[in-house]
Amino acid sequence: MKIEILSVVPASREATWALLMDVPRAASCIPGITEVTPDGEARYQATLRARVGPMGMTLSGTITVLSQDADAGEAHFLVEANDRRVGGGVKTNMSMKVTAKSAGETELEIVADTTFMGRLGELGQPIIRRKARNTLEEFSKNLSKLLASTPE
Amino acid sequence: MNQKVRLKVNGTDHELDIPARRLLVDCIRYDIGLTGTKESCSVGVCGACAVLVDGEMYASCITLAAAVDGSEITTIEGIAENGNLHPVQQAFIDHGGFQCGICTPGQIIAAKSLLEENPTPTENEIKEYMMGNLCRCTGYYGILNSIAAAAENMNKAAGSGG
Amino acid sequence: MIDFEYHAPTSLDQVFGLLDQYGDDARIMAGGTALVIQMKQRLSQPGHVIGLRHVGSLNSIELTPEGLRIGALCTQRQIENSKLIGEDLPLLADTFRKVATPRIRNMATIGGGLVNGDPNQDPPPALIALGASAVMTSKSGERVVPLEELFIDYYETDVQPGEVLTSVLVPQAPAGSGAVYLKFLPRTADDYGTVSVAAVVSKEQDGTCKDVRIVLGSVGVTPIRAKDAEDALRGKPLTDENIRAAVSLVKDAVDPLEDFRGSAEYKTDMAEVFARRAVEQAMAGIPAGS
Repeated sequence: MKIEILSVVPASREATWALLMDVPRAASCIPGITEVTPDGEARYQATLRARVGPMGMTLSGTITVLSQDADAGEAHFLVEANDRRVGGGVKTNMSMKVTAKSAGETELEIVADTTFMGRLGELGQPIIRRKARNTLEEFSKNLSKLLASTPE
Repeated sequence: MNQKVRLKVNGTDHELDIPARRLLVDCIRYDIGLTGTKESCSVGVCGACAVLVDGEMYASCITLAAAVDGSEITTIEGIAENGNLHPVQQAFIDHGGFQCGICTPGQIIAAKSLLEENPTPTENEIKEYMMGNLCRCTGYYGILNSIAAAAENMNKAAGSGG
Repeated sequence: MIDFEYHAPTSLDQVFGLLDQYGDDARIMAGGTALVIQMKQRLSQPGHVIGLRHVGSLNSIELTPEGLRIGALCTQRQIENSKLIGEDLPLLADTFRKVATPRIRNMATIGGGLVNGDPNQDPPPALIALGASAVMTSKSGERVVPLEELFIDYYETDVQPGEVLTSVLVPQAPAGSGAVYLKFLPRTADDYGTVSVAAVVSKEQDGTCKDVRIVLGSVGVTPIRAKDAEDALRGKPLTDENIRAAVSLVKDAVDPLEDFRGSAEYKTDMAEVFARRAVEQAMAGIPAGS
């Protein structure tokens, strides 16, 4: 499932890029995320508590920074997490691109290509898609809020 | 973990020591040994698992046995009267109410429950009440005719009882 | 199903005690028709199930000057067959009659259905159109939640930890109003609606719309009240043209999930069609001389 989000954040390209590269801080903007801890080179362990319909889940796994190109403003991440107890999991290939719009505004493009496994896959595409989109949109909003409140 | 569950099934008291997650259909079939009640869809939709709990038609495949602790359960094995087939059972035999028989216990329990609630149902009332009992064999008319015949026989018998 | 412990409290105090003790690991069970299926599918895996079956005084139906008070454990069949409801608020009896099958209605309860938060269910649109509220009881007291505000997201309601939905309050229908619940069922008779609409319409002496409520089910992650469509019709003459113009706004209010019953586009189109039919039929049900 591919989801694309385009938003404008109230900060310079540099500040936005800096926040995205600070993975623990950027990840804190994902609704439901707890405990993002470094685990080696460009890797982080993270836990995400989420609800889809009647199902509550605690997904644990890794965020890996696959590549980053500061000049182009592009980065690629791999997120793999599962909930053994529920028997469901998520695998996302995420790319983020920042483009300066003005000195204080940056366009942020997020493309997430996600596979849902186990119990999550059973819940049905439409509700999962909706939940995934809502999560990404809220992530984007939280990033904006964090950037707005951070002095450059 | 096991819990004590007391059920009166077709007039006989049972005291069971079963897990909380035991479904009523499994309890009836395996713990008590009455295999007349069938499980088909497992989600309460098809009606094959229908039993009476304190006189009301329930889907035993989505009922926890522990939840009906203390209740009176009536299954297909329990509706004959004094060794004679219940009029609904007899009508199903006389009017082609079944072919393979898998849905039949549920159909008969539902029909009995209908006629107790409404002894003179119209054809539409029968259809509405029985809508939750699916059958893959008969095309339903055999079942409807059986129920209509049972109603007539039961009312005649009640009438002549005066 | 994962192993669990079943509790059969006989009073609300006992229920609160169990909720306190087991917190997140406990689920309350009313009729069980939704919960047992979810547990079978392991969508829900509580370590403790608190059954309400033997908690007394939760299954009565009373008529007060303000309206109906329906105990949370009243079964759907009880509500469908209630003489009191049939006379006082026939829309409710009609709506509950349309749920699934008689067998399910014997087991399922009004409270359990609401707390489940399934947007495809029949009772919520009708109850919301009638302005109903839920009484949430906890050991610290009661709070009354308008049903419109109870549904937050897909299978998510505003029930707080430690709370039990104990009754549903349904105000008297407005004087001189007609009400209807339409369930579009192109598939099997025991299914959820592809779309469903509840409408309550009252009119002034001169034929203008005094008030209207249009609430839809199966068209989003929660029941949806088409407020813009209502505002567009309220105060206007109830002509065919005005009704059609108003219900065209229903399309923007809904956000259906596609499934085997239809695509999102199809359901959106049908939402408008059935909203119009619901308003028309509700109007036709307004007592003469109102």
